[in-house]
Amino acid sequence: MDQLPIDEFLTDLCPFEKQLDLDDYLGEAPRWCQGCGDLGILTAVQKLLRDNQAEPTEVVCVSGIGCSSRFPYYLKAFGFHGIHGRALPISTGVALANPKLKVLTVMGDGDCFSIGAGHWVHAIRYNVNLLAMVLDNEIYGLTREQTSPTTPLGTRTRTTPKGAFLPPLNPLQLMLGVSNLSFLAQTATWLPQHLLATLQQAYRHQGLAFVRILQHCPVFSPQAFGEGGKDAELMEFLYHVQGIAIDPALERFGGRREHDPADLATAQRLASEREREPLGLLYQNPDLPSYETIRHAALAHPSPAEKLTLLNRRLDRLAPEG
Amino acid sequence: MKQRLEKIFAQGFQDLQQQLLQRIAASLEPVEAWLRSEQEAERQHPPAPDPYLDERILRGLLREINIRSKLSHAEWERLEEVRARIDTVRAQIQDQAPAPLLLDQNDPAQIQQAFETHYGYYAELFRDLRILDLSLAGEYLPELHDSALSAFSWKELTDREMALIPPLVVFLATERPLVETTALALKLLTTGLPLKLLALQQNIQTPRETGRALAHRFHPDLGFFGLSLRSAYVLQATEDIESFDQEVMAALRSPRPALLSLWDGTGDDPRQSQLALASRVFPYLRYDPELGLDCTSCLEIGKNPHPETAWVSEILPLPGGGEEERPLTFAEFAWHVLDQKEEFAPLNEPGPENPSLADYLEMETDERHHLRPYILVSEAGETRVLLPSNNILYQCQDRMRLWRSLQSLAGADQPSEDAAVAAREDSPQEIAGRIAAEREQAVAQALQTLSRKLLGLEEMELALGGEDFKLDLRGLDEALSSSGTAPPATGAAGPSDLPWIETKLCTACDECTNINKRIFVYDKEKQAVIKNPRGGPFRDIVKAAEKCSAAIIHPGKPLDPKEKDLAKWIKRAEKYQ
Repeated sequence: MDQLPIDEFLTDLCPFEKQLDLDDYLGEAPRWCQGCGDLGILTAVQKLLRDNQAEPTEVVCVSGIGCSSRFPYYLKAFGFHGIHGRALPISTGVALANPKLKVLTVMGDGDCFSIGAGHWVHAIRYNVNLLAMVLDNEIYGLTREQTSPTTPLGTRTRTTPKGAFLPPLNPLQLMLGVSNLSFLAQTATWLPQHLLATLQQAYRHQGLAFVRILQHCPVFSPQAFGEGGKDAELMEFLYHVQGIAIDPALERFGGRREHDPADLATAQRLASEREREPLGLLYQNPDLPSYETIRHAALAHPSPAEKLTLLNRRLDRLAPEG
Repeated sequence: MKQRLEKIFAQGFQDLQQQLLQRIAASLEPVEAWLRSEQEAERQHPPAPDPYLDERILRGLLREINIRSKLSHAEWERLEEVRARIDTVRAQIQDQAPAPLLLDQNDPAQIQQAFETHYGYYAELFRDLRILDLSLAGEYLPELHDSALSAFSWKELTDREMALIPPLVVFLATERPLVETTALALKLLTTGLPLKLLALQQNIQTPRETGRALAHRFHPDLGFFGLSLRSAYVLQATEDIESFDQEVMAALRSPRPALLSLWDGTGDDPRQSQLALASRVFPYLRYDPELGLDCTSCLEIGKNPHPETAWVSEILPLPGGGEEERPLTFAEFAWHVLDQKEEFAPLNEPGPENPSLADYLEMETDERHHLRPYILVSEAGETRVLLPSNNILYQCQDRMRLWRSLQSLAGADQPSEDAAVAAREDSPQEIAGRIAAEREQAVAQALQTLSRKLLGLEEMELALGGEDFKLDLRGLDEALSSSGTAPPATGAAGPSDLPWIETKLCTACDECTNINKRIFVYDKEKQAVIKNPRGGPFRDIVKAAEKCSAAIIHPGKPLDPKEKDLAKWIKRAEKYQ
């Protein structure tokens, strides 16, 4: 048997000593623009996986189409760059096929709230066990500045050169109205600790954890969300013992309001008022069973011997008589 | 310029004749010495009729022992043959000193042919010398060397041998569009032949496009283009630089292909070439690939006036009295040298919408809206204010981009780093002296404060706990702790004036690290920290603060008081302090 110094054995071979660090989640070098919030979200997700010591081989990152949907290339894990608006059905399939995998779904506001809206509503209703992130910068960036469902009223874009005619969709209000919602939080790219803490809580949640991440596009929507958090009047942190911790360093980015994440009615009111963007955990129901659990319970689970009997019975039926 | 170059060629290769003859002699000497001794012996001792002791037989025997013993008859014959050939070449070299072969025509096929002939002649000589050396050492192996040396060409020559061959110099025709000259240079330099291409630039070819086409137009620049070849020696210079002759000779003597772009100008006005150099229109650069593996080691731009600044300035009297520092840009060059007077409109007095051209060029694009920059020119003792056209402005910007690129490639855009290095090179005695002086000053100040307080006891009681009773020891601690190697505090900025980042709030957006990786790096949590506040100019720190999407960079105060446009950057930094 080969002889090894003990320190080498411990660091290289001993499985208990192996700690995953940020470098273990580095994929390709990101090609997002400088100053893009996506870079910070990528870092936050890498930290999330590092903190949970998630093996890259046990994580699947699924995305749709858009700037944000380049995410799987830059994260070292299994990846699926899907088609426009279909990140959630693909993620649902992955989660159902192999419940052991941790599924991260990354979408943009156009991807999820527009072409993917049908899937969006039903994914929430199904409550499959996955972490869904919408990187909302109120614009289509990859295709260069078209109006998205969250683009504010009057914003001039290439598709609405005279300014957007409709007030924006309120995704929080919509999600808080969907049956079977189990987790909804909102955070922003300019709040790195809050972003990570939110993702941590979502990661631990059993069921579909939906996180909307506010950001601005440095090229096409630099003004979004008070120029990316520069206007504290527009934001409000939600705090509660069950909610997301607020680092004192972040207080200059917005006011504070106590909110119990178990209180759906208040969450709906908060979302619909739209005076300030609520940051934190809007709603969580940890007791809602995930779709996998319900499905598992509803279906029969025969033992191998029973399966064989069932199969034989089926085959016997096909055999010619006599 | 051509006369000067001819003089350089004549003087620069004078020693070549002597060196070549010495090299030939080094190989021929043993054979000739022996021949001489044989002839001498024959003259002194004519063959005696004595049949018992024949001197000739004896000498023959000795010769056999010395040289012939190692050589067969065939080998001896080969030696004689080679010696005769070398002798012929030697006579030719003695007769006419070797000089560079100058070619004025630009047909690649003909140049290649001329090269093969020119270098072939010398390659044959060096092949013969090698045969001679190997034969005399008894190391000539026909089965190995016959085939190898029969296919001998200039490609097999060593660097020392190459250095003894006068180069082949091709004068590139510069009256054609520069794009064509550049294409020809590329074609010739990539043949792999060690050609020396010489372009005498008489003019700067300026594009005449308008609108967008002007901005997108490729402005060829022969010297800068040469850098992209990486393996060629490149020299771009005007006559005004220090030791111009040596620079040209170094390029011609390099064993590599070389591209020499020299300013010739039109007419005899010496100010033309001075202005071409000072206005960065035709900056000096020397790229010697032998000097290292990275561009900074190989590229030298130090002979430009003020190589660390963007522009060279001169003081001009203003029309309404007073003086103004005027930077020399492409615009001045266009007015004085290119004589493009139609590109300028006169202006009585600069208004608020008329910044000076140098200020204008430093502005960001969005700051330039509705501004028309002006320049000052002095003509017949009178100073005039002129507005350059868009064409001129684009070219000024293009030249600035070229110069900045050169500065950064040559590592000249980091003056503060240089200053830190220079400070580090102070001797320990100097540092110790400075510390002693600062200590003395601090003690004197303390005594002065104390005595002042002692005179008014009541005041002292108040002041002891207050702000007044505080020794100014800024910089002293740092200087004491760093006694020896690290630079002492400059005095321009104390520790509290250093830039800082609220690292916890960093969103890892890559803005600052892309602006200057020597100043900003990520920590192990991938959040930005300041690695070295002296890693770059203050303007980089301010730019990073402006770009930072989380607005968490606080630039502090500049560490290098000599940095350019400091007042402007300090003002821009105020918002982020």
